[in-house]
Amino acid sequence: MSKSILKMHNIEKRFGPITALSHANFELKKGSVVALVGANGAGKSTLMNVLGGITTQDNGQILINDEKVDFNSPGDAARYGIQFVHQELSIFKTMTVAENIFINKFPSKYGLISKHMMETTATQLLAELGSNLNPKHSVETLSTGDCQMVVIARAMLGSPKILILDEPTSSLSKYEKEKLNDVIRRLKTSGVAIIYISHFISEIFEVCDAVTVMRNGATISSQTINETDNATIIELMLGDVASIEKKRKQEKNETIFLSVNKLQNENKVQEATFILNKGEILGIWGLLGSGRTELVRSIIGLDGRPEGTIRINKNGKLSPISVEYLSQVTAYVSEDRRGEGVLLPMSVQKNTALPNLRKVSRSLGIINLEKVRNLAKRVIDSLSVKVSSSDQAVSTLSGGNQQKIVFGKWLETEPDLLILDEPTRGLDISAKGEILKLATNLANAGVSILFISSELEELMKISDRYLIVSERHVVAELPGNSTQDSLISALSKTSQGSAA
Amino acid sequence: MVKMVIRTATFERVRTNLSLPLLITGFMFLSALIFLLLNSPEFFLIKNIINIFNQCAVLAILSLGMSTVMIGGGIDLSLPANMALSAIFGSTIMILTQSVTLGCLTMVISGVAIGSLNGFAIARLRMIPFVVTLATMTICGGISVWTTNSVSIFNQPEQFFDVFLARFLGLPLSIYVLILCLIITQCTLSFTRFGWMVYAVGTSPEVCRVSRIPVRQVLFSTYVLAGFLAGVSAIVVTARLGSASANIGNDSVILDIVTACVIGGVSIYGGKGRPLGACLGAVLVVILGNILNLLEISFFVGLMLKGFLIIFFVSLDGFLVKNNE
Repeated sequence: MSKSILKMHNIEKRFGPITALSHANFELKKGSVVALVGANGAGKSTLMNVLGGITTQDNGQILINDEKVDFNSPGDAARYGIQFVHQELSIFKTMTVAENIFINKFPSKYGLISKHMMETTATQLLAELGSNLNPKHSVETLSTGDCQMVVIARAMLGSPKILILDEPTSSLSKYEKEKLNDVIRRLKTSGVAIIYISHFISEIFEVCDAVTVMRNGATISSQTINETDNATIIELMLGDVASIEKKRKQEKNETIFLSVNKLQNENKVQEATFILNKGEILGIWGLLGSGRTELVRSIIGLDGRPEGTIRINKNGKLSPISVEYLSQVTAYVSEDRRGEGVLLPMSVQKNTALPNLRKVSRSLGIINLEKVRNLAKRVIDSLSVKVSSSDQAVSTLSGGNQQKIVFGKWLETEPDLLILDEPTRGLDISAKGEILKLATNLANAGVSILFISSELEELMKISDRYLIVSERHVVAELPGNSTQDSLISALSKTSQGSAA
Repeated sequence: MVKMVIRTATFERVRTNLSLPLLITGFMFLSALIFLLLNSPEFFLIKNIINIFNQCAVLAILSLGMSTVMIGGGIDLSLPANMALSAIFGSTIMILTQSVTLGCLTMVISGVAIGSLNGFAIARLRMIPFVVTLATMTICGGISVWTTNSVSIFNQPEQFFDVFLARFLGLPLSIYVLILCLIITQCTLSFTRFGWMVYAVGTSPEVCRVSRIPVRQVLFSTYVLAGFLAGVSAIVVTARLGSASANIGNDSVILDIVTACVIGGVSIYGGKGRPLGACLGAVLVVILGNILNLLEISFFVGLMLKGFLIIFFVSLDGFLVKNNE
């Protein structure tokens, strides 16, 4: 076996009160491909950001060829031959392939950019990757797979020893995935070590030599690919199954509240069909980028105008309604709390009043300040929000308290449907628990809930039923007593299904 | 403990109401008054003060309109040109029909129509406010010059001037019109559902969309309100000057309006500020103009000064916004 090119030892990193990494270890041998897997929030990204020089670790060591190094910027990391290909491809659409490859360092001659040199080098780099893209072409017309080649070629320009690929296949077609695997094999034979981050476990077995699993900021296991299998990795990723306890007894309420039939929204949602019962928590289980957020946004008209029928229960009868109508009875807690949830510079009062302005105003649309204050007080008291006064700006509150403000303002609208999109993202454990409890209480009170979460444990705690979303389709429905294994395999099956 | 909580709460309220830009403006205001007291005590004669307010009325009414648009997160550069064109339309109608009411009504309707045009392009067609209103400004200015050949329109009916130059309790009507506009705008923004929506949309249209606020209607309405105020200011300016011309909407007016708004604590990033602040800003701009006159400083130095003031206050605003996040 060849020796280690990279060793990360006991890396620790905290962001405020949240521990992102504790005892994270990672080892990479020259010319090998190591998969780095873990559930959302396991610390993969933070660990790679430390390696890429994007953030600095609080504790722990990075050794490159057994030499201790400190990275304070991506430039530092690049000097040691580390290149990062991010999931979101940084592509400049109006520029050519060659320009995109050389975006970090345009070759120049007498202070002028040498187009010729740029194009010949670009052709060479692309050829090494087995791609015959024309460097003079504009990037605008290229497929995602080709864009990825361009970004990888850009990384190759820095002649890397270690290449980090973050979710490289998340938006590739089957053919493009195979092409990418070819590229990875080529790079491997030329001696580049690759860190391959993926959510798709089945893919790992196609190209990787070893796999490192992370959970809750720590490295759980590092094994060679022959020592392990799909199920073992998933088990390691998600931890103990037995510890999950349902937050509430499942009630058999079979009154249909919402029925969505063949919902189609451009290429965001494909023929989605599902039902939601009254007072039910329907867990939507899918990976990041599976179209789960687009699905819930489409039914309330936040993402353009979808086709298909949406019906809700009006006086015991299912009647077809428009997305506008549905949005009037729906509370949507967005995954982007700061961008779509709260008006940061504004006071708690004004935030809680926002969707309830009609409720707090007199005739002629004049605001009743007394009612505004009372409404804010109700929210603060019922959700025990920690504030010194309701005049306080929401930006000064903690994430958990901000999320409570979002919940509170929606509860005051007395919604029939509640959509929770990653409602606990970025919150500490106690705030997470409170938010989940709140959701179950609401369901008990008869509110129907669509619940999206990347954390399976959390999803399993409160869901009455599951909808499996993958590659923009609703692919399956599972009962509330499904095991973790069956939920995971529902996902891996669908991703295998599309790869086969 | 309880006392302390109450004290921090009060402090919080005072702090959010008294922003740094307003403190600086207050300081400038005081220094200007002290300077005048020392150098030109006759400034403080009642007659002169009334005259100052009379001078500010037009600028202040336009600044009220601009502040509404800016709080909603936009900008309306076409306000002075709108005012000039509306004054020309209205005066023409007034002279043709010899009806003061019809003339004044035409000015207001014309102002509202141009405001709606801006609002439609920005809210419905999602065009950029800066570009849309710059274009409207040029179009209105073009029509004004083309139809009048840059000649002022005189000979409005006598009754028009009789009414609008009349004084009640020693104050000209224009001041009453200003006060009325100020009360309407300030109360609308502070105490009505619409006003609260304007602040919210100016702060974050994304949050508003998710929270079921009719973002487009709100944006549209801010431009209509600004257009209405431009129409009202057209009446006031025509009465004061005794004529209507393309020149009353010249480029330096827009500079004055923006200066008045930013030194009055209205944020160009939207969601922050008060019409009252913009109104006081307008008074300060006029007083500064008077001081420059008194010192016999060139008009163009005045323009430079206003430009610098805008840059200073906007950078201060940007700094505060960043600090808040």
